[in-house]
Amino acid sequence: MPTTSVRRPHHGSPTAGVGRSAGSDGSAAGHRSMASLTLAGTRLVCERSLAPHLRYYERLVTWRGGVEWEARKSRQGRTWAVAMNDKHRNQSSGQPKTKPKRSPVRSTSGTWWPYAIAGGVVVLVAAFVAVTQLGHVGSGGAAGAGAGLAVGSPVPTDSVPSSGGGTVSLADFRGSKVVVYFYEGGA
Amino acid sequence: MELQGQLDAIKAAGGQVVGVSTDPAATSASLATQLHLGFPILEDRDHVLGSGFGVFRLPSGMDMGAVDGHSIFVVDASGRVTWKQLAPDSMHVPVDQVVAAVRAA
Repeated sequence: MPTTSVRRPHHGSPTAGVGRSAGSDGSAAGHRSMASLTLAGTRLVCERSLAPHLRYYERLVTWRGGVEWEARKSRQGRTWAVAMNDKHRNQSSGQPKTKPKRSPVRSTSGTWWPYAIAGGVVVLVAAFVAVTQLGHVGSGGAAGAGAGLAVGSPVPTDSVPSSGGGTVSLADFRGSKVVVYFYEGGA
Repeated sequence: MELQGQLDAIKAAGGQVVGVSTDPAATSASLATQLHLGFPILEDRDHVLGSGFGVFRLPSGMDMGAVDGHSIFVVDASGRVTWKQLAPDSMHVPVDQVVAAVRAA
């Protein structure tokens, strides 16, 4: 293993052992300024000067100063490549000292996933609206769209088959209070 | 069927319980037996009750199709609605509120 890694179970920043990566994992090989480290069990590749400042949780990598970083899974598997957002890079001028013009991300994939997420959200919203509107069209009953029979209204008294045998009408319950519980059947 | 757990309290408040679904009565009878339900379940296959109560095909995040949406009505002794809750997106039954509504009805 050519890389010295610091394994931190929590969010501490590595204090030592940020190694220069080379060779075996491929994702960071061949780039002298890249460092490879392990935080909270997740392997990260990032610009070497930034490595001591990283903390990692879930998909978010944060820097000591509170700046959010992007973590992207590289094509090589479980390794994540880390780079500071460009907008954050401007806000935090100076704090990594090196500010290369090119992204230090080693991942070869583009930033496709924000668009994928946005697209998915649009589809979900459209589906929800469609379902809701269809529901409105279908309901059309006495009480209007989705409001249910108004308080104070007399209840329907149609006779229907009962699980207890025979037929039952809500009129049979006159003189007694009754809780009417509708639920979605499996029909 | 959380209401089963509160059946005694509802009865003590002068109320009864009926379930309503679009399932055939025989299916509901078997469900009632399995769950030891102490109240009948009415068959609303033609959704006359669901439509009358305005809960048939409730707009819902769960697209359940042509069924009565999950909802609870409290009806007083004169046959009028005194309390209701339509919750097509949830299977939760606020039993405390239901019991209180029965007492108040």
